[in-house]
Amino acid sequence: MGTKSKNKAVVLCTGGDGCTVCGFGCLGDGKCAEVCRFDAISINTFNVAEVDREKCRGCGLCVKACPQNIIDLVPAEDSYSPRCSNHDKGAEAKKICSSSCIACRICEKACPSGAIAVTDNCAVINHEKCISCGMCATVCPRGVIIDADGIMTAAKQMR
Amino acid sequence: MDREYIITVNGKVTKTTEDKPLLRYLRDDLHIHSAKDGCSEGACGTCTVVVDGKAVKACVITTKLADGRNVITTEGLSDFEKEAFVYAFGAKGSVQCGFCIPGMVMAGKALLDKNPDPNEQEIKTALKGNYCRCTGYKKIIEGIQLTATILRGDAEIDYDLEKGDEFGVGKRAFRVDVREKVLGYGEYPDDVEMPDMLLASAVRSKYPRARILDIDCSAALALDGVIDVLTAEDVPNNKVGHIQQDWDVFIARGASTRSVGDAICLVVAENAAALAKAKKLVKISYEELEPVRSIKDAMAEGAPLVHSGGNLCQSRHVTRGDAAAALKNSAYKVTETFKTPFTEHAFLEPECAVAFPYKDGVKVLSTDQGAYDTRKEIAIMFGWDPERIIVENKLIGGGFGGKEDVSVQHLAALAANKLQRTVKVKLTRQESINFHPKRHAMEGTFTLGCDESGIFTGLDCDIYFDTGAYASLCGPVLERACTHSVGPYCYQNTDIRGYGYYTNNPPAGAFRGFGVCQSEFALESIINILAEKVGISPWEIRYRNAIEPGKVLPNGQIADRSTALKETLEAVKDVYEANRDHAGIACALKNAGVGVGLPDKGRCRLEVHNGIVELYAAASDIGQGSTTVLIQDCAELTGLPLSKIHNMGSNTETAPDSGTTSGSRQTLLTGEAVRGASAQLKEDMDKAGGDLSKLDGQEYFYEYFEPTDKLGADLPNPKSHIAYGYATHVVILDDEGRVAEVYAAHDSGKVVNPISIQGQIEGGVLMGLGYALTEDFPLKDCVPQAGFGTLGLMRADQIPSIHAIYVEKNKLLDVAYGAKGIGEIATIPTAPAAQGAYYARDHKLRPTLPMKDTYYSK
Repeated sequence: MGTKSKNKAVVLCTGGDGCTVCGFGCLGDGKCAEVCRFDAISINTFNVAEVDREKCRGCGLCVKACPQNIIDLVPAEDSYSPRCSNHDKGAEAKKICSSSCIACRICEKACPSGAIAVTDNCAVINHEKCISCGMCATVCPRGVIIDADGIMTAAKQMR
Repeated sequence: MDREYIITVNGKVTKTTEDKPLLRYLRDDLHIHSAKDGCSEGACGTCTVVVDGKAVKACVITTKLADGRNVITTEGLSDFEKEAFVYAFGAKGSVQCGFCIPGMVMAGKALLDKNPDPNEQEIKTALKGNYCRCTGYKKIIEGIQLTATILRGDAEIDYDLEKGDEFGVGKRAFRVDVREKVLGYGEYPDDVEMPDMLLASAVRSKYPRARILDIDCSAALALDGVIDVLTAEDVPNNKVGHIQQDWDVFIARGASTRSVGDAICLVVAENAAALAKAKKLVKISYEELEPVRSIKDAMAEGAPLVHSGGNLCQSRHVTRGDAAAALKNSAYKVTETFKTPFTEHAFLEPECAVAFPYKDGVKVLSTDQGAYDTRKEIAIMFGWDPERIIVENKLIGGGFGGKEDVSVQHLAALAANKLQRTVKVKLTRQESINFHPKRHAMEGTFTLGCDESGIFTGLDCDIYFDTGAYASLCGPVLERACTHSVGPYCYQNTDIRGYGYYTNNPPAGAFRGFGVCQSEFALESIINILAEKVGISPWEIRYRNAIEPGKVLPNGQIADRSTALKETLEAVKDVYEANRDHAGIACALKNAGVGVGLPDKGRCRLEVHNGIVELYAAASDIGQGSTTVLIQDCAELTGLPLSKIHNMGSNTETAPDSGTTSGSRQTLLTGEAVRGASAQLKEDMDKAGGDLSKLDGQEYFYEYFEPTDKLGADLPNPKSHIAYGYATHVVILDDEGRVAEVYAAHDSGKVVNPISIQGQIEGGVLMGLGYALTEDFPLKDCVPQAGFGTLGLMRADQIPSIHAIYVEKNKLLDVAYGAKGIGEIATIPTAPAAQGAYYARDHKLRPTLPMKDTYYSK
């Protein structure tokens, strides 16, 4: 059982094909990992920061340290997050990265509680409205919306 | 070769090649019916199962995603877990209609596996994806807490409670349907599977108002697996309707639709896939017409006619004394205009019926609020003697008034009769939202006056109802709105005018409160302003005017000896006055029984067979618990344990008509019928020395009918209703404007089941709070815009602390052991009390619902 904290940090990038070219995503420079006092963040094999939810206590130091401003704190019980920060238009985002949000709005249409919306070309969850049903994750054609519990993501490349 | 998905379900390895929602795999392929289909959209949680330790909605996860995983449904719980959940949910009163319960149990299990000792907040969070419309969540949360305690070994199961050796009136009786509902093996119509059963679904109108130019079914009929497509030409009499038969079974070629829920034809197919495909192949040509969007539209000169008789569906004029003169001479008076929205019942079980040929007619397995009412409507459609149709209630997953009209039962019967096959018809959640009658939207202007000391002098009001496309129960609902707009007070001058207009919106009809939620919201909101003018507290003005035994209600009826409104006010006085600057208070009355001169009867027949008393009374238990209450009524007089009394359910072939589950009437009317029959049985039991075996084959029948006076009867003190229940609610806000606490004090006479009544009150309060604060039914050009997840129904993590209080007087009515019913009144005073609480904070009247400018409207 994980630590009982209200929030968990989520990195809004999965690293696509291990590139850093989109300009929005994780740079893999490890600033977040450096500031984390609980050893909860590391740079993974895709050169992208990854949060260990068991260790994360939701303190938010990584959020402040991230030079790209792509780490979010979300309620611990909400396991779903769209993990992309690419604000380019769909076609461009698709071209440059295999796991980018292409602003197709399929998640928006499928969400039963009106909790997810594409804002500035990226899907964003309103956690006040989210009921953690996972519908967005199962319908996302890009595997961008990830279930931290690893069950519901329809990804070709689940991470 | 197709990929195979291997899924372990309740410990058994299963395989499929189909990629589809896990819910469909569980229900259709594995025949596991504990996972209920409440929406198939991910909104409601009735299909929650545990997948690799996580609570997951089975309609969201697919077989592909579940590949290699371990799925548990209620059937897969250990025996100890099963017993713990059954006992805890029964002991705490967590179960009402039961449709959400297996999902709640599985969400609870996933939580308890990770956290054996969760606090209240953790339980609420774990349940936030699971709707319950009956209980207000409190009892479910308590049920999970007790389950946790038992599973940890800190409490023990008391098996005697479920056994029910002492099951009389007022006893802590364990509901008889707990086990089947907790473990999910109880059958709702959608759980019925029969050999060679066909599936049918209607193609419904694309437009609220359009002429049907052509219906081309040829492509659909040509599709493999499609059996037939029924249209208006297949219906002997194309009209149904609960009271007025104005509702087309199908909109015929050449006729015009009246709302988007209208059925145009019914596709019958061998399987779900063919059915879905065929529905898309039916080609309907429309000529779109300008719809009637509002009451104002409907009243306009030259407005299109929704029905040929004109757009005014119903009107009422309720008058007594001289309101105009009384108001003219009043020291203070207030006039305000109020607006309330349509409200969706949002019962967790969407409408479903199964029908098959039976004897010289058809039999229908139904979820409804009155098997005999359903039979009547189907008989009208066929033009048959009603006896040819048998209607049997399966479990009913909530109703709240929304299942009084036929919805799918007549369609299933029609197809079953034509094809001489078994046919199931089920609405999708969106069809249900679009089709069944809502609570009427109201616009009303109310003027209430009082003298210098705050004693009410007279009421004048106009009430306008939007009854949408069909009358449904517009007449009686409008009438109750008018008769109850006066409140539970004592004054004699009223002039109340009510109008119900047809529009092309979805129809409106019965909904818990039956028109009274709307008019009492207005009245109670005005009373606060009057109190302010007089310079007394909102509690005081109500207490000064409160009806008492022997005094005369504004409709002329003399309040009976059981009347305990003042006691409900006294019960909340301290808590109200202590929080007065951020609390609101409101009172209500609600009739028990249909009344107003109608032949409203309770009937019961008891039969003794093999040492068991069989109880026959066709009274739909829509979750409120009447099945159990009626057994208690029998146990009270006979002293028999639960194991000796079987309620045989609501079935028109076997049980006498005991009327509709509406008007908070079953506990009183059917209760009295059971009491009467039980008294006869008891007499014989005494003669037989208590030995039931000596009474084998004996029958005891009792009919209870107490005449009432019709509206406007020329009598000094007409008796409109057999009884009234009374209530006072107090809503307390926190510093941020959130509802922190609700105190709900009720006079419902003798409490038959103290476990059940609390859940009835709490659930009613939460429904009232939703009405006040979060629920809406937005329409765009007459088309509903909300889905099941966006209606604004409150979720478990939003609930305040609700305190259910019942005052029991020693002076009771001498029928049904003094019970008066609780069903509707629990939901009436909450919205005006919430309005009053915001008014207390900022002295701004919020005359529309859901209220604007609150914590919840952000």
